[in-house]
Amino acid sequence: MLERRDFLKVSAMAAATSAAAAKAGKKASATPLVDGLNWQKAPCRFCGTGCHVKVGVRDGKVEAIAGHEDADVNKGLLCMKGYHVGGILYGEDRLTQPQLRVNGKLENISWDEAITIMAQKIYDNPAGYANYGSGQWTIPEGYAAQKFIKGGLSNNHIDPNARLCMASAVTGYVSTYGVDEPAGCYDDLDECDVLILWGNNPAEMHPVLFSRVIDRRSRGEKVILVDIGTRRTRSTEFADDYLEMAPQSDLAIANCISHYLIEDGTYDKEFVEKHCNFRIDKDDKTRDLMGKASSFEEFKEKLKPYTYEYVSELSGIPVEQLQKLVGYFANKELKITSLWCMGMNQHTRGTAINRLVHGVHLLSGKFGTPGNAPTSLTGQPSACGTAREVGTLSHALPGGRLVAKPDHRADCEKVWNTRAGAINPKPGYHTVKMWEKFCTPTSEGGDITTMFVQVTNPGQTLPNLAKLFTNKKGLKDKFLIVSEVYPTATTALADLVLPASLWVEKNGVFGNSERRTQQWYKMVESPGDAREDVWMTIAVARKLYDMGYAGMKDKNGDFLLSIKDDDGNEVAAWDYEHFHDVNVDRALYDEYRLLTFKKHKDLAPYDVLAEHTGLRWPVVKGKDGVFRETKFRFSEFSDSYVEKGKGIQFYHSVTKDDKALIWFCPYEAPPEVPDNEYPMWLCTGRVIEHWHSGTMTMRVKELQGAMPSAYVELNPEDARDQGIDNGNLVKVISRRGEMVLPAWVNGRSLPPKGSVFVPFFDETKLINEVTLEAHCPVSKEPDYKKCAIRIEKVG
Amino acid sequence: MPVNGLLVNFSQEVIVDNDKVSQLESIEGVEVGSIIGHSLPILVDCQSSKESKLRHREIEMLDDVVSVDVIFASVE
Repeated sequence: MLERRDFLKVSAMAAATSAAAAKAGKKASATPLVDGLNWQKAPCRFCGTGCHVKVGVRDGKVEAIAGHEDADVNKGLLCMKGYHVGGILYGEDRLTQPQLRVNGKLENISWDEAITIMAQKIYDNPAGYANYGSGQWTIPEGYAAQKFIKGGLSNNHIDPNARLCMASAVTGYVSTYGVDEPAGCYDDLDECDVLILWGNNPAEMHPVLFSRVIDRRSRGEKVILVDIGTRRTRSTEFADDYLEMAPQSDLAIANCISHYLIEDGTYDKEFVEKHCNFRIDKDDKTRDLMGKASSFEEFKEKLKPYTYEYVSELSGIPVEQLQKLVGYFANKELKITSLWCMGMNQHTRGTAINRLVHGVHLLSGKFGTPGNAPTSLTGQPSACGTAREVGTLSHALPGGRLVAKPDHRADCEKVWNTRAGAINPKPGYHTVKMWEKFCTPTSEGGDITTMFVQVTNPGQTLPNLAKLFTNKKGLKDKFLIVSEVYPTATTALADLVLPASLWVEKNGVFGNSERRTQQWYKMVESPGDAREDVWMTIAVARKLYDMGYAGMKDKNGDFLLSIKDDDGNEVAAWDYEHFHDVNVDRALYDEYRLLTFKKHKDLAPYDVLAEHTGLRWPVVKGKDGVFRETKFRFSEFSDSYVEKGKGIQFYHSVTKDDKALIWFCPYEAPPEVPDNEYPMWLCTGRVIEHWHSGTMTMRVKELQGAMPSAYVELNPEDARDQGIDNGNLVKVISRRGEMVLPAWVNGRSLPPKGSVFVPFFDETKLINEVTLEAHCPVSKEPDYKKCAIRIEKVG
Repeated sequence: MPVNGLLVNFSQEVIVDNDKVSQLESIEGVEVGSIIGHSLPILVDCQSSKESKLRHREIEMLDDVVSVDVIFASVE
């Protein structure tokens, strides 16, 4: 029998050999079975790329991680966070026991006490209860939470932190195509001639996808990389063209491209006439989701001000570079893929810039064939799968439905077997509003009194923290419940802390950025008394049912969140002793799946999903009984829902004529710009070593050691002017707050003169004390990428 | 004590001959697999994370190495 170290070595060499084979296009051999090490598949826990990993478990512990060589997304590769993902389970300070704050201190209590306290809070004021989750909720977790609050409590106050990261992408897709999520997929990265990064830094944020493109260069293929951004990043190092723009001027740049495609007659006239209509805002002030119809002539007229000279002046980009950019879209031979993430989404005109980039692709006909696609990326592993598809947003319902639409509510009420009218037609509070209401005294209109936070860390990630989070501290009538895996800035203010299972300590299903749904099974036990989030929801719902709360009963008087076995018998899943008697995820997912067909987001059955490293929806069952994924949505050659002979068909078109909408949205200045008092720009974001607020990655010693602290990155000229050297402490001050950080000059990125960059992963340096909560009027997504600050050297 | 499986990617223009393999084998804790295409799978067995990082950088700096992918990492 091999010793642990020996079989780790055998496994390491085998995994590397498999990856080499995959890279060379040869069939990879499977990782060998080694004594005692049991390999199972799971999607990575971190970003929205959706890399699949192989998890090696022995004696109930994750002992090794390898890239999954059969996974289409990553083909055996992982990034530096991915190959350390196993370590997130084993931080020394895992939460293992429910805790209640008594006289300012958290004290251990039993699960029964915790669930009873939570249920009583809800029972006393169901309308004042809100659930704040994230794109890290698994699909079954999000679905259970959705059903509980919208079907059971009828208040709609549920929103995910995805509101802070991809809500503008949703409104962009919906107002362009009538339905959310990208038409293209990662295969576009293997085919495009030009890759345009719109305020995007995939070299650090989505490294496996970035290497998928850069690896093509090492094979002798030509891929032109265009980086449009407000600071130089690691992605810029690989760029052929770097267009450094003034914050917010992306709106003008996109309009400039459209203007010259029309002016020069190089737009794709046939594509536009066949597949597109035009749209504008209702008037100069109204900014809503659907605007009003426009004509090609009106559209053309509105674009006229966006000349090279005007846009160059607004953006700071030389005319020649703008001309070159327009030239790429004008060239019929080139296949162009656009990628974006937070740069376009965290934007007070986030919906507008999303629409405009879709418009540029539609106008130029760079759409619907492999390599031609406008594609947003997500930052979380199930922002698409759970937040967007399950619809855990305050206005949404599963499968692309809306609470405001009677037929959509009726669909859900039917599947949930609730009374007609159980679902409230009024959207609940979106994230910023929800936290504002929670942090405002009840007597002053703060009508959210109990907040349940799951799988996210708002105490670190909300903008303008003093207003939206820390204010809770002095409010005696507010109760904060937090389900977490480690102590965080959020648990620091919690009244009740619930220890949660993490990643492969539970079953799960995620949905990644390219419509790919991925399933995994529980592999190891949770530490101490930590339990699954989905169990918490079921247990609280059952407690309410037992207390006689009417909303937790379906039409027949049965428990709303009832879980049944294969024979149709109810399992007491609310009792943790019986929670694992059946696969609760499977029951919830297969019920949710019934709601995915209306908008052609058809998911594969759970058992089919379990056999794959993910399938891209719509997953359609063929006449041969085989479920097949769809790579390119709306394109006849790939999407079986497109009618024969149509070529491209936007079958959820807003205008009901199978056409997409090309929008005009004007350039509008940011809500806060540098002035004499606050003369610099602040941009915040992530670093390659850490994921989001660092709750998990800061517990992995290799990642923590590689990047132990946040910093403020300065332009060398600004640093010199203020006498700041590397490591000097610098105070970053805005109208909302201040934070002291060590300076980094000539670091890994280069902010332009007059601007600084600060990452947000460090809970000891909360940069969101400084950021602005101003948000897009349509998506309600705040802008973390630009606000006015000043800096002062400390000491 | 990390055990890592790495993929050493060589430039398309070079032939990975015995000299290059010997160069890698001479690095402490490194075991070399069989080259496939222009990628060579290797095993790196180290006493600490710091040492593991140094080995990685050392390999990246070798002539004709384009990049080094980490494919497998043990969990401490």
